[in-house]
Amino acid sequence: MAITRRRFLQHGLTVVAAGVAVPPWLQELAQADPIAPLGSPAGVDDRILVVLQFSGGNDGLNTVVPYASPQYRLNRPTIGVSDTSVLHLDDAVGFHPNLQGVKGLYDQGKVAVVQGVGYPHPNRSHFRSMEIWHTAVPERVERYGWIGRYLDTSPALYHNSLAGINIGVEAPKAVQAEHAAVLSVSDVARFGLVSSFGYASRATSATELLKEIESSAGGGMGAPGSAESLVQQTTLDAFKCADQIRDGVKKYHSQVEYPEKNPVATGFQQVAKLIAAGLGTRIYYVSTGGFDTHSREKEQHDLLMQHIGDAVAAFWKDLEGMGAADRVTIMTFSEFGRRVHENAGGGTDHGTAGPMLLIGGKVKGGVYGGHPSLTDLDHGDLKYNVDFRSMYATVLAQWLNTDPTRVLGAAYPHLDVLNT
Amino acid sequence: MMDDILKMGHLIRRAGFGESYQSLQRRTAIGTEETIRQLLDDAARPDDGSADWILDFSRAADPAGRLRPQALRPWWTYRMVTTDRPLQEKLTLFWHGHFATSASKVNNAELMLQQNRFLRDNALGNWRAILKGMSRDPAMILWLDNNTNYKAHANENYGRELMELFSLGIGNYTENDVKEAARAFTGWNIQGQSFAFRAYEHDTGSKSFLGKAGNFDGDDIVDIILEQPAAAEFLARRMFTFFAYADPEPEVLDPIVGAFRESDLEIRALLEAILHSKAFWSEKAVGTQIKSPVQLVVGSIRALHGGEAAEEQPGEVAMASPSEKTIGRRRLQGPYGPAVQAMKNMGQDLFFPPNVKGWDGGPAWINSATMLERINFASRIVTLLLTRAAGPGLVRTASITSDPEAAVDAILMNLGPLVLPTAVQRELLHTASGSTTGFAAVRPYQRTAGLRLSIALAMQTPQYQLC
Repeated sequence: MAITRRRFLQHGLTVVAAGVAVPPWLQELAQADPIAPLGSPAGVDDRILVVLQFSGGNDGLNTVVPYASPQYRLNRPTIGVSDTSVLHLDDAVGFHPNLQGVKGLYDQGKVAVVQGVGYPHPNRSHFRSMEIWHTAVPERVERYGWIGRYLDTSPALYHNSLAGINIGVEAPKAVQAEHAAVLSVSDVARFGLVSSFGYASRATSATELLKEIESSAGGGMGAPGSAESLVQQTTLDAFKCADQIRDGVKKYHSQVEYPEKNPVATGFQQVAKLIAAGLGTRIYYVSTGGFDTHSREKEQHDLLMQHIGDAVAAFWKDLEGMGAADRVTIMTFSEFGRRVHENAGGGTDHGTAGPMLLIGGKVKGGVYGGHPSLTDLDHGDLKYNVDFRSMYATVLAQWLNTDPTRVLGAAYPHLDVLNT
Repeated sequence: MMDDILKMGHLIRRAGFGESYQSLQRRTAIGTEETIRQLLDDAARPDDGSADWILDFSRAADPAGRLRPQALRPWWTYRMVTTDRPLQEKLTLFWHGHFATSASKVNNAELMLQQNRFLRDNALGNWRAILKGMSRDPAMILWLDNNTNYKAHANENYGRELMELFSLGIGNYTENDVKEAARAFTGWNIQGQSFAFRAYEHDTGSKSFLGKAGNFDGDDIVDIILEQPAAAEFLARRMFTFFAYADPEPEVLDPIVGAFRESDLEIRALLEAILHSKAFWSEKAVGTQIKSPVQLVVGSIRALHGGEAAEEQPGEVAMASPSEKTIGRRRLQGPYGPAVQAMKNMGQDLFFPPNVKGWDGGPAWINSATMLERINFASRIVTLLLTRAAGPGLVRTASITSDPEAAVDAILMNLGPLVLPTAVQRELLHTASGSTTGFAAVRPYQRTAGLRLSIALAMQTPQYQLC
């Protein structure tokens, strides 16, 4: 059922308790843009992709450790992960010891480890390389991100303001789109308008004020593409979704305890609440930083691995509890791995290829893509085996049921990592 | 006359954080040229140490007498709100974003403070001196790991970002230049709170850098970088984007770069060229920039003071951490704690930029989470600052008149001036007048509720998000 403008103003702003200031231009927007139906109930059973970004360049060699390699020992005399502590996956590689949470799922066949993922002519700048991963276009600077372009493939996706949700206040380039506007949510509990505006003594009640606003003539939208129209449209989207999100997350009744002081866990818990809300969201995007370990890598990276392992374990338990585990796939990536040889500061400089993890109820567990050679290097860095666009193509085709060439502009070989 | 005020509003928002209508009138009377000269002269004055009592409070509250990183944010926010040299603080903010160093890794508030003071002291300095100074800045050395850049094995972090983000831009150097620059900076370390050169860690071998060869050290690297044609343009583009608009046309940028080069890389010459350029005053620049969270929050608090002097009261600042809340019995509910929190929630946490590239700015400031934060901030800050009937600030300024139209005018004049669509202005007027009681019939203090709401509504418009 389409929501009428009046219903929207009455219903969509119920968070506006007595005395809340309502922007007067809201009404013009409602006129200019009839409210499309929000996330359709049919969408709640859809499959979900959770992208987990490691910002700063995760040290892949200390995440999926080639523990049996003498070259690894030689290159990592002080920061190498000892072969006794590694969580063995096979006779060549194993997880960092703090990734127990991921190893537990690996043992259940729910984790695909894809080794040596990268792209031709790797760029060692954080920002350019991250942009390449976000846009999936290494050759030139591209305006829109790969997730944005995915959402742009279908009106059903880009007309649904809840189809993609970014967790946090910084939206990555990956979700920039021509048509779609990905919502950013930093804390579901605070997603709405405050109702603390103290003018209760005023005769103007909230209802009256809304009526006044409804009766005023509109001033129109800013020019398309202008900063003004961006602000207007974004705010309208936020208002449209605020109630649905705040009402929806009331359905979340989990007893699962997420670890504290763990930013990955905090992000995943937001995602769990939003999944419980049944908003029909297809993509969640979570970013976590601190991976630029140029010095004293050991303590820093150990902690990061602990965060990831613990967060994945809690999130998965939560998803299983709500019966959503088979609908969710987590995909991790970082803009690059790190130099094979450690530096004198007990850290590693910017490198190239690294592992990606796919975690989910429908994932075919195992280790994929041979481990890159530690001797045949490109300026001290690993040579990639698997193009990251193959991973994107696989997920787009097999998980999100989209023709990947429409998003990536070309065909890439798929990996056999999903049961679909 | 109104056109002149609007023009002055543009200059003062970009070269500062906005000022009251009265102040804009005063500045308009002396003219644009003279105002630019004053702004620049003021920006070059030595630090007056204003608001340092906030730092002293923080040190006094710590058992070990240490300064906490949490105190830095209200300290700087307070300075930006109360300053009478707006361009000095605005430039310091530009440099903080340019040399984006985060306390999250430096983990030493005194060093973060030291860097902030260096950037303020050199806000209008020489580009060469700034780059050489930042290469010796202890917080920077820790932030980009130059403290572990040894002769035995160079750490590339500083060498790379110096070129990629601070001086040249990607594409103007090779991976080998990164490695060679890193070698030249080996041994540039810190001792306690100061820069220290450690000769035994310094690589004295010959380096091949950007087409030159020699036994270069860090200063040589900066000098060679600044010989590159891309160098002057890189900074000019960054600064033009910050003060005017993104992606300047070559015919706009070229003369500005020329003036910068001609001055031997004086920042004052660069900024003068930008502020005097036609482009700065053009339609493409005026009212097209999305306010950064700092611009929005600081500008709003300044505006809500309504041209009245901010009350200077030690202890007024609400500190961020619980232990700091115990400081001083005279602590009042100041706007600075909420202000700092709001800026963070809007995506700009002072002293904690997200990474070495700083804040992307522009459209990246705007998403659903940050927009809700901006709208909620308007309600909160108006409630916080303007609750006392006929209290100080914008409500009093606006309630002096018995004509609601004049009252709304006064509000909009002091918020920028803010130019709104007629229909939205009518809505503000309606809100200010109230639906049952006539505005003129009631005494000034009774007018304040409607005025408060009008102010908040004006601050929630899309137009107010721009500057």
